[in-house]
Amino acid sequence: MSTPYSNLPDHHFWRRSIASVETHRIDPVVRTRFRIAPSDRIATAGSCFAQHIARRLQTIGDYYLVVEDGAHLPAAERAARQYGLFSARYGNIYTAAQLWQLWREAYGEWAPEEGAWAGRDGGWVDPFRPTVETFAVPEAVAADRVKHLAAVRHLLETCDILVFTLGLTEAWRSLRDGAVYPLAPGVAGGTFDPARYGFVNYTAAETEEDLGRFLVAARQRNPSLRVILTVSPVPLAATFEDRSVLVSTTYSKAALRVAAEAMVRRFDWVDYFPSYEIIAGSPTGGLYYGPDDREVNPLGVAHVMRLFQRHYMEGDAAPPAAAALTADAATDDVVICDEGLIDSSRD
Amino acid sequence: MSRRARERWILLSNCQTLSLARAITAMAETVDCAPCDAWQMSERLAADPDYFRQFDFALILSNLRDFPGFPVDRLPPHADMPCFSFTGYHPDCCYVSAEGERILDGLIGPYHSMIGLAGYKEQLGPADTARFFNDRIFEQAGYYRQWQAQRDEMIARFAGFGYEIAGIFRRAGRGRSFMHTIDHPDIVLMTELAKVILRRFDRAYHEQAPLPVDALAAMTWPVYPEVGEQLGVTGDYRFRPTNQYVALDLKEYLEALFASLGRWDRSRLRVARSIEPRLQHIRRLIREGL
Repeated sequence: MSTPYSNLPDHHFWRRSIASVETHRIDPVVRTRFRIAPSDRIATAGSCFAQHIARRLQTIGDYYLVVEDGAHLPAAERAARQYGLFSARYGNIYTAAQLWQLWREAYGEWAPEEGAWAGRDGGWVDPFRPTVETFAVPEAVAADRVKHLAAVRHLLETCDILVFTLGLTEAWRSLRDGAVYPLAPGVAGGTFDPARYGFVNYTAAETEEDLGRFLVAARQRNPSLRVILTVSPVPLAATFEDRSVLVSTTYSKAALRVAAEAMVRRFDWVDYFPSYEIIAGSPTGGLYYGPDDREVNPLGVAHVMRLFQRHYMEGDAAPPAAAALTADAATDDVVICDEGLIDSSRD
Repeated sequence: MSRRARERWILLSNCQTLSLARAITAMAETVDCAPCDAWQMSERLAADPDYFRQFDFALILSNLRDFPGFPVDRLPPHADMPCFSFTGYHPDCCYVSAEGERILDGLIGPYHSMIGLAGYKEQLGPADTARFFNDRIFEQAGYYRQWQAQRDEMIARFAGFGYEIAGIFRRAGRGRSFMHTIDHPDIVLMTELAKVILRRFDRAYHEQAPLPVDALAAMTWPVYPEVGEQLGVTGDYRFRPTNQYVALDLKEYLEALFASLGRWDRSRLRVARSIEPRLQHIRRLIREGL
C-alpha cells in the first residue's frame, strides 16, 4: 500500500539516516540554498559558538572578512582586545534584539542614553561590548564606539555572506531607553540597579520580529547579502527565570530555532545550518560537549565545520591524493601478527 | 539454581582468538567457546588426534585453512568467518620488514609509523620527521578516507560469509576507537562481533554482559588528533610501548623508531607491496616539503 512517505529519500527517516549511521558520519544537511564561492567574503557574528566558526573559517582559506583586525597591534594585544574574534569588534551578540539594535545605532536611527559603564576593575567599558576592552575615560569609550560603528557599516555593506549564530532569548535592558545589553549590569561593568534595568526573556515572535527587521534592513543596504543562520548549541550559563537553567535552555533554543525557521521561510537568501542539531541532538549523545556538558569540544566544532565546508564551499572536492587503502592492503591481512607478544601478555 | 546445559564451541583463529572466544562465552546464553590459536593446532592434534571432535561446533578463521597443522579432516560441524582488521583509526600504522623478515620487536611490537619510516628513508632526523605529522600530509596520504573505505570493505567481507556487521561500527565506535592497533580489535568490538556470530547461528545472547578481560590491550597505537577529529574521537600522540604504561610523545617515539630502524640499511626496509605506493607518496610529499 502506498503512503505519502513511500518513495521519500533516506534523509526523511530516522532509522535510515540517523539510527544506522555512525556518529561522526551523521549529516543532517540535505541541501543548501547557495554555495560560497572562493571569492566570497564571510562575516560572523552572534553568540560565543560563532567564535568557533570564525576560528575555523580562518584556517580554510581567505574567506573570512575582518574589518577590525588590529593589524597595528602586537599579536598578543590584538587577542586581548578581541580583534579578529569576530569580523568586527562587537563582542558576543546574543540576542536578535541586540543585533537589530546594533544596526539601528550603526545607521544613526538610535543612540543609547548610557555610553560607558565603570569597569569592574577600574576604567570604563562599553555597555554593549563590555569584555572587549577597558578604556581609561568615558570619552575613549565613545570615540572607539564611533570607529566600531563605522566598521560595522563597512562590514554589513561589503560582506557576501553573514553567518549569524542565535544564542539567547534572555537579556537585560535599560528601563529608560530600552537599550539591550549582552551581559547584565554588574557582571562585566556597570552597577545593577533594579530601578534602571530590567530582565527580559524574548518570545519566539519577538525574536522573529527583531531578526526580520535586521535582515530586511541589511539586505536593503547590501542587495547581494546572503545569510546563514545557526542556533548556538551552548546551553545557558545562567537563567534569571525562577526555574532550572536546563528548562530555560530548552525554551531559549526552541524559540531561537523557531525564529530561524521563520526567516528561512520568509527569505530565499537566508539559509539555516543545523550546527545545533549536530552538537545537541540525541544522535551525538553529548559526545561533543566538554566536561561541564556546556562548552562544545573540538570534535564537535570539527564535525560542524566539516559539514559546513562540504556543503557550502565551492570547489571543496577531495584533493588529488593517495586513495584510501583496502583492509587487505593496509594490514596485509596476516594470519599471525605477533603471536609471541600475545602469548606473553597472557601470563 | 541449575545452570542451562551449554554447547561447547572451539574457535580456531589468529591473535584475536582469545578475545573473541571470551567474548562469545560472555555474551552467549548457551555456548562456551574455547580458544585455539593457529600455532596451537599442531600440538593439540599431536596430543589427541580427536581433540577438535570433542567440541559441538568449530568456528574457523577462513584463511587458517592453509596454515600448517590445520585439522582439515578432524573437525566437528564447523563454519568459517573472516578476519576483522581495520586501519581506519590508525592509517599511519603498518608492518615493516627488513631483509624479508617482519620487524616484530619495535616499540609497539610489530607496528611502525609509515611517516616515520618515510622520514627515516629520506634521511631526516626524528625532530624533522615529526613536522610531517600534520593535516596536509594526512589528507594527501588518504588517511582521512581510510575509515569509511575500511568500514565498507569489512561489511562486504563479512557479508560474504553470511555475517551482518554494519551495526557494530556505530555501537562500538561511538566517540571512541574500537581498535588497539590495525588488527587488534578491543573487547567492546569483540563482544559486538560475538553477538553477530551468535545471531548468525541462531544462538541466544545477552545484549549486555560484563566485559571479559581484553587480551589484546597490551599494545595500543594512538589515534592521531587530526585523524580523530575526522572521526569524533579525541586523539593524541601518546605511544604506549608494549606492556608498559608510560607513553612516549611523538618525538620520543620517533627517536626510538629511528634507533630501531638504524639496525638495517635503509634500502632493506620494506612495507607490504600493496601499501608501497602510499609510502612512496608520503616520501614524495616529504621531499616537496623540505
